[in-house]
Amino acid sequence: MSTEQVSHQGEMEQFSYDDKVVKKYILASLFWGFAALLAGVTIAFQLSSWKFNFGLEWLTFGRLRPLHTNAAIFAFVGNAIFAGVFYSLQRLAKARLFNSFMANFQFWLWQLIIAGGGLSLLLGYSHGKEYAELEWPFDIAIAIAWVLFGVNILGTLWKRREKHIYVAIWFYISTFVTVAVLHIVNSIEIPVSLMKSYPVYAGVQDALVQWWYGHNAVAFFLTTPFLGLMYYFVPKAANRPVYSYRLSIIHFWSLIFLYIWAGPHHLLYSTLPEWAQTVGMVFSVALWAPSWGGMINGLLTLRGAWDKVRRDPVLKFLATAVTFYGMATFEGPLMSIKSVNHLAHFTDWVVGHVHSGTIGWNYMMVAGIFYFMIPRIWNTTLYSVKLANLQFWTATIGLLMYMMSMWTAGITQGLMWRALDDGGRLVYPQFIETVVKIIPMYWVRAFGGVLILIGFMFMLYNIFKTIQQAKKEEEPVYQAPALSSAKPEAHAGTHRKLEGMPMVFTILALLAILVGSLIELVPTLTSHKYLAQKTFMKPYSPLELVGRDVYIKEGCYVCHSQLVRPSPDEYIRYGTVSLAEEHVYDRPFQWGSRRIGPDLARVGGKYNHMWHYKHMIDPRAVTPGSIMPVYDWLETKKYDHKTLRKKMKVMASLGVPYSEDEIDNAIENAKAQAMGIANELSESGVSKDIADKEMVALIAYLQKLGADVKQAIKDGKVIDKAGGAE
Amino acid sequence: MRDQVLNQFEHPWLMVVGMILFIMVFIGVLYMVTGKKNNSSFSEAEQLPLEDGQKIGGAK
Ligand code: HEC
Repeated sequence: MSTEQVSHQGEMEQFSYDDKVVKKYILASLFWGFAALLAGVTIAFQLSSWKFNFGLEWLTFGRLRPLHTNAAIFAFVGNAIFAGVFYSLQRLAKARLFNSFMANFQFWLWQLIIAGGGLSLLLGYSHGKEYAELEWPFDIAIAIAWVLFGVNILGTLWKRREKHIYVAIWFYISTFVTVAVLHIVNSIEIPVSLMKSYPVYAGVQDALVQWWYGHNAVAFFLTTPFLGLMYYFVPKAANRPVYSYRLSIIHFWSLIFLYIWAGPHHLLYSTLPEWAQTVGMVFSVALWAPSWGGMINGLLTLRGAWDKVRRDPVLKFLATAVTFYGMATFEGPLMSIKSVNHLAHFTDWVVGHVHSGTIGWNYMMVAGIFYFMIPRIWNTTLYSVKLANLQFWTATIGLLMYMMSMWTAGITQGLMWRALDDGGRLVYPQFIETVVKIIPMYWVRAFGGVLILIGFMFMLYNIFKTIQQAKKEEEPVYQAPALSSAKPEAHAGTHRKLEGMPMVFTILALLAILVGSLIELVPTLTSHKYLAQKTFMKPYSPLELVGRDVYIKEGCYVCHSQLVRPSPDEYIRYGTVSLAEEHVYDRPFQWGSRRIGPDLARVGGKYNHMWHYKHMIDPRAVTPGSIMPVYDWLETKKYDHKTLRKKMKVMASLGVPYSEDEIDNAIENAKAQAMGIANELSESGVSKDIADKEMVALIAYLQKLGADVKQAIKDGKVIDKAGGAE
Repeated sequence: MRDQVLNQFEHPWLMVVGMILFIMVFIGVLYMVTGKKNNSSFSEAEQLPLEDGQKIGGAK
């Protein structure tokens, strides 16, 4: 776009804003927000007592937890982003939305993805990768909706009447480009059937791509759009300009440049190459600076307006949100330091951290901007300030209960896992001891969640009453000079000029995030070390492969890790430390992120088939006090053998050494292996015929976990050791 | 632990490249935003959220 503009002084244009679609996104966000919180409270109670799984397969923790996270991120927060961005973008650009039909199409497509995706998660269709669980048809639909969103942002900027692009919009642009890149790269998968696919990456490579995606979903879905909204709504609500425009420019570029590198802090002490782990750690710590720069900029905007913060619910929510943002972005870098991470990782500390971000920052921001927008676009006043204040206090107290209980639970359990006595033995050798200890904290957390939910219901009622009292009026009309009348600025600084060029700006933002992504991903993705070559690992047998898919379907990975870290306590508790080579056939990888139950990487051969059978039917029969759900439907549901050959063909096309023969005889092989397990079970007294049921497939898979490594140690191919992988 | 980290450092130059790039971007941005000639344009830009265009009709 040229900076030279023909000058038509004084040429005024009339226009209006499309607030109808903004209204729709607000209502959708409120609706799904309630659903997400309700699911959250339910799973919180499921961890306090297993009975809250209700014995229903589609309501078990493993399926409901992905529903909760996806609904919170993409449905509640996602719709709020669209509402806030479309509202502020139009006003900052002084132009009507580029294309209302497209925005409405995007709206309905997004709601369809949410409703269909939610249902599919409950039914057990899942990728098994956190926050990317939805299967491939949804991935395609998400990409389409996202492109529509981006086209509308850029299109509106193209039609704008304000030459300069305000800082909020830079954050929106970086959100759009980065999420597009993340989603596409992490979703490259090969379909097996309509609702099943395997990722093209395996093991370590899959882990790296997934957490590059996962962390940056936090960065570019939960953070950058909200920083943009902060830069618009905080000045607006306080009625004073942002504290420092200069600082906002530095904030923006440093933040997006650094954020993209931080993903590997989710994989510390894993088999990811050390250098990548170190990069992740260093950049995470460095992130503290721009994050706090932004927080300070937001809070200082309120200087001289603190009395308003006390009176105005909008500012109260916004100021609290920014404060929680500061807390969460202090805690995050701290938890990325390797030694701290060793304690925090796999515990509830991480869960607490996430909620200080999503509830403290995102939910509080959403409440603030909704209370700002709703009276304005419905042309009325807020029904009750008192109720909004009540909501604020219930939510804040609920959140503090949540965070404090999770800190306590996380640190307690982390310390118990690693406690060794003078003789070098585990002080708490039974994993369940460390679970039972923190159950009281789970109750505190659940009640904290209930308070947050109640606060949310106050907001629903308040907004319902506000809208009800709205008067119907025509769309307001605005006027502003046409862009073509803007005078070229002779002495504008470089960045100021850049702000007049949205396309160039978009490309620069894309470059900023691609640098970190490429440097971090390419060496590991192109290294043949992580692909199946001469390895001691045997590919999964057909039955094990089916069992693995049952494991993914039931969401066992939300409670169980499959990664033994190099430390004495993990070596004693689980066995030899995890090796990169072990995961060459794992599509998707299943390292997990939380050990609500013990690590399973070495469980193969630890128990006999009968133990697993009893444990799945009734975990408390073998481990009193267990909070694992009952999985009794596994002994009545037939495992899926129809797609088995196709599954193996896809795997073979990705490099798994299955021969043609093995693929042709897959079903017979699976049946033979299943028969062996079923026979052993029936000798131990199982009277039901379960040879063709999911139960035997799952047991076959569990018995395979770690079996090849144990054999390799026996054969002298691998040294059994506690530290330093490979 | 330090030795262990350094031993397995397969691509030390990559981190250096990353850091150098970041420092370049940082200094570049710092250079762009300081300087007095921006003063007036920044104070103009700061005001952008506070104006929605002039309302001339429809609802109040
Ligand atoms: C709500 C969290 C949760 C879910 C979901 C869950 N588990 Fe567990 N699991 C536990 C807990 C807690 C224990 C430890 C107590 C016990 O033995 O039951 C455990 C123990 C185990 C053990 C015994 C490990 C050992 O070394 O003693 C196995 C095997 C197991 N789970 C398999 C599974 C499988 C397979 C699934 C999915 C079908 C699953 N779990 C789902 C929480 C869970």
